[in-house]
Amino acid sequence: MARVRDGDSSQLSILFDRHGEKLFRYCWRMNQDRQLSEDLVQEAFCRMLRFRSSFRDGHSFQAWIYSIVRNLQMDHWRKKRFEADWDESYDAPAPAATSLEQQQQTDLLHQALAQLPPSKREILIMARFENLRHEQIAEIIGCETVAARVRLHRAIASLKDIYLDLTQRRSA
Amino acid sequence: MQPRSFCPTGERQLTAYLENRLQAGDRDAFREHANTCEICSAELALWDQLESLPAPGPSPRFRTNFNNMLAAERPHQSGRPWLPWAAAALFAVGGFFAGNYSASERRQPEITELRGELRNLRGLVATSLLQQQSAVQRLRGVSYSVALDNPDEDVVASLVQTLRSDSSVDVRLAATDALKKYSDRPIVRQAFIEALALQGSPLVQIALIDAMVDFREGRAAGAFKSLASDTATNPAVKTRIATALEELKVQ
Repeated sequence: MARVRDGDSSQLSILFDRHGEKLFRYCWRMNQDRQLSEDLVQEAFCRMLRFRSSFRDGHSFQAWIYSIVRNLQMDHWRKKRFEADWDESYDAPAPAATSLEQQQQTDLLHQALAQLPPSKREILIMARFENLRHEQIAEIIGCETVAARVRLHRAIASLKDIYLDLTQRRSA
Repeated sequence: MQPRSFCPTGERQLTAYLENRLQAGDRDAFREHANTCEICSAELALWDQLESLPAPGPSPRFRTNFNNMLAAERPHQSGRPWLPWAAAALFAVGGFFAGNYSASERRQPEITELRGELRNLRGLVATSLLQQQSAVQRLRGVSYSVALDNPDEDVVASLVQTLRSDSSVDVRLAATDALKKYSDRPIVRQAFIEALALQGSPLVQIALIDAMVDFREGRAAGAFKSLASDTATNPAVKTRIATALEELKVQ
């Protein structure tokens, strides 16, 4: 990133190869909309290029790029009042699970994740799927590391409650 | 908001356990706790279950769109980010001097020179806007170029490039309209003929055909016939080509 900042924009392709798909999956897990996720990642790289001078040596590149993507995602939700549309836009991918039971569990888990408030969903996705350390998550969402840990635990606990509710409703 | 089922031990230790941050003794103790605590064991099971949750990959367009964005951004980056500010400053200074100088005919050459510089700068602003990522900004660039009086070749070349390859139909249509103003330039007439084959949008195709009929551009007949013979061409475009060929004959 330091080379991009110093004017070598061709290096952005390397960063895209390294992080593009990962960021796409992060966005997809947040909004479950493929086209929107691709647009957000593209816009994020566009912003990286335009605002490259704001990247400082010694800072975590991952935290920086996730902050950019997160801000774009939040801007989008503000514009579209995303939560109101969530149920309609929900579109789980074809599951890789083999048995019917596994497929149902995967569906329920997708639904539970979709029903989790965005502030909890993002922290859970960062920790579980992006393998970000708690310090990095704290830097991205702008809080202390201890607070990030507490919020992560509450996100897991909330997801569990929603998931169990959905499971019970399905078996009733 | 606290979840309905809540374990204080879990809140203190579960995330540290997941991130392998607990000391060996604490780790064992937490594992033992989780074996007997329904809440923590359910949370740990859910954490494991999440790992298998599938997510799709991006479409094949993902990389292509990135390459296009990068190509579009490069001239913008290496270009002139100071240009709008410079233009504003120069307009202000130019306005001030133009006002003062207009009283004196002796200073007429300086005013002419200043006007020339302003025109060049407006051309640079138009060119810069045409290279922006946002379609709205590029439309502004087209409008800006229309307002120019006798723009230089760079501005016309940028408009031609926009007509040929802009991703937005609206911007290409606007560029078609803008370029009609410069139909006396051979480069524009040639660009219209060549652009016809590059367009996928019937709207732009018809706009180009209309323009070439207006120019009485007989050399376009070949391009019209090629497009008409293509099975993928929209029927409305074929109909317009039929009448256009008649109109060109009459003219």
